[in-house]
Amino acid sequence: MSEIELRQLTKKFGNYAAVNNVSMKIPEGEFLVLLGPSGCGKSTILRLIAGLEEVSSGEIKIGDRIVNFVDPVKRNVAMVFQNYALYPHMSVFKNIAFPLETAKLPKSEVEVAVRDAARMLEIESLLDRLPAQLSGGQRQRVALARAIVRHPVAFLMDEPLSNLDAQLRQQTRLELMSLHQRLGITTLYVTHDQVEALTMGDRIAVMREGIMQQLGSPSDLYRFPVNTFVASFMGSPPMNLLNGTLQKISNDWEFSTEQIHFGIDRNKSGFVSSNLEAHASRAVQLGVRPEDFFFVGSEFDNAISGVIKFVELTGADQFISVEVGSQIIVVRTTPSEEMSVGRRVAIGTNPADVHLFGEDGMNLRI
Amino acid sequence: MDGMTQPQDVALNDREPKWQIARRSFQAGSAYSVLALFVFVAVGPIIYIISPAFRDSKSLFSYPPQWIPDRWFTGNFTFLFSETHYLRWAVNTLIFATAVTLISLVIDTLAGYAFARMTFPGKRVLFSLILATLMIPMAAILAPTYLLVRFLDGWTFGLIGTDTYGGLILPMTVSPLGVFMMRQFIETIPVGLYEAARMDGASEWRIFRKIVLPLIKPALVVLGIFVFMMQWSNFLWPLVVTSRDEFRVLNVGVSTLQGQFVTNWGVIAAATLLTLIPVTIVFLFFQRWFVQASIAGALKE
Repeated sequence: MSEIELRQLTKKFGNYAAVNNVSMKIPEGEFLVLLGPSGCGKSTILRLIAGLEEVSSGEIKIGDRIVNFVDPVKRNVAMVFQNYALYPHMSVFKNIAFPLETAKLPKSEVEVAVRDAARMLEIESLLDRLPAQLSGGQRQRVALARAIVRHPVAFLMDEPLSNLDAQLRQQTRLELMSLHQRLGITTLYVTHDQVEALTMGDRIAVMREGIMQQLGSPSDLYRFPVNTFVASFMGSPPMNLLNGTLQKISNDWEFSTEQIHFGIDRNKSGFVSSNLEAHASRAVQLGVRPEDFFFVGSEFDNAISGVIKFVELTGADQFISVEVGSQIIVVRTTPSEEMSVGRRVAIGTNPADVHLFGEDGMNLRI
Repeated sequence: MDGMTQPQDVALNDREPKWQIARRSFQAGSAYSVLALFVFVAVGPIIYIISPAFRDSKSLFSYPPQWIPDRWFTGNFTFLFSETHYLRWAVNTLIFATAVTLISLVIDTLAGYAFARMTFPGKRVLFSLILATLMIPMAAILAPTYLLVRFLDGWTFGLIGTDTYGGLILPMTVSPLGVFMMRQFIETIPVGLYEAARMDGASEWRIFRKIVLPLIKPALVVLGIFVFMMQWSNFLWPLVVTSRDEFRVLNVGVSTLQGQFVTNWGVIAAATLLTLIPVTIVFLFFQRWFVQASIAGALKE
């Protein structure tokens, strides 16, 4: 029984709501990623669940127990801190054993449990060392071993990879995922890195200024972002967002700026007409992911014409920035397409890949 | 690397102009003379008392002054041990300095921990008050403290009072500086460690005992040495609170050797010399820690 449920969870620091009315249910064994920029309240949620902060209002349920006023240790969740928080004066063995010794387990049991945890994370040979003698990756493993040694019902991980270098981060990411597969422990994982979120999460909750924006599977979030914030936070480079107005022309719809007249075919693009109707003649943003744009001939339906401003090669991909009026559209192509700065090009997209966002930032598709 | 530095070294030896060598030796020379002056100022008085300690009172004022005695006279020392309570004073000083050190370490670390890590109403006001007492000189609270100790005499079954160890030791164990120092040091311990320990189920006491104390060991040693040396040479308070010879500490005891009309300077020099030995040993013994603590801040991750 290790399902975690948050009900209208709110945490205020003075008048400022760091976490504002967040509700979610994390089923047993799920790997849920809390994603958002710094200061969005994602770490605070973690600390509330851990019991390091007191809830202002709402409820936290772990299993079938409301734990709002339960001691951290009795919630039986384990936390992995960003800077690992290893006890610098204790050997690796002592570090891992600390929670068990605190719980006054007999020495022989502690020994067995520590060795088991160390074996699982392949740090058996490091047990006598001090944290200062370990590399970043090894410290990370020790922190994980200390977390799993007392068989918690849930893991809370606060940006555990952010102190590692890029290469090690990728490797550790895979290890964390395989550890999760083996143990099947409910995991809440906080990060500001959308790549981590997309690759690791069963589901992702995107946070902004204490408010949960969207909760869903990585592909849902990527394909159907609920608003411009989620749209621009997921994906690198982010979704292109073009400012313009939504015009009704006779019986059809058009996204228009001075340079762009982009017809919205309701049948092909799947927009609900009442949604479009509500935004008629008002400012909207057109959203298209860089990979959904491609270079076309000028005779292509709804082609947008512009001038190439930058060409960025990143190895497998090539990002072309096209200037259209005062706005820039980024297009992702393969490096084989030869592009030169200053060339006039036309780009197009499929109607189904187009999003429209209203003045309030909300996606008109949802 | 080698290939780069070697030719340069050769060039230095071969072509360095003489005036440059001269300038450098002049610089080194002047640096050393300044340092030597400081050393002389610091060590001079100590050297100065060695000579009279080993001479009898007649040869003390001989003219011309004699720096190195032609006969090493030990009578000053035998006088100390046979005719005065020197040993008793030494034991008293040891008890006094050690007890003050140990008790203040306990008080300062606990108070420092509370001020650094706990939240309680009035914390800031209380801490400001403690710091404010730093501004009050010992001389100003001498009389009130004395009166308090004398008053307590009747209430503590003779544990605290004039001419008792309790009265001698306890008033010296509260030092705002120690509380401040420990608080500052404990605050440098990352908050994450406390939170991790709390998540691991550790109680406040266990966190203090198993996490904080081991991590502030260098600070404990520094504060310990500091307090010990301060109290070893403390004069004013022991002078005021003790009047019976068997409760006197070294400094006070030695000062009583200075008579109104006749003073045996040889004996005083011998006593002073002996008094210096234990503190010197303590310092040398813990010096390693002292140095470690002062660089600890620079190396902390």
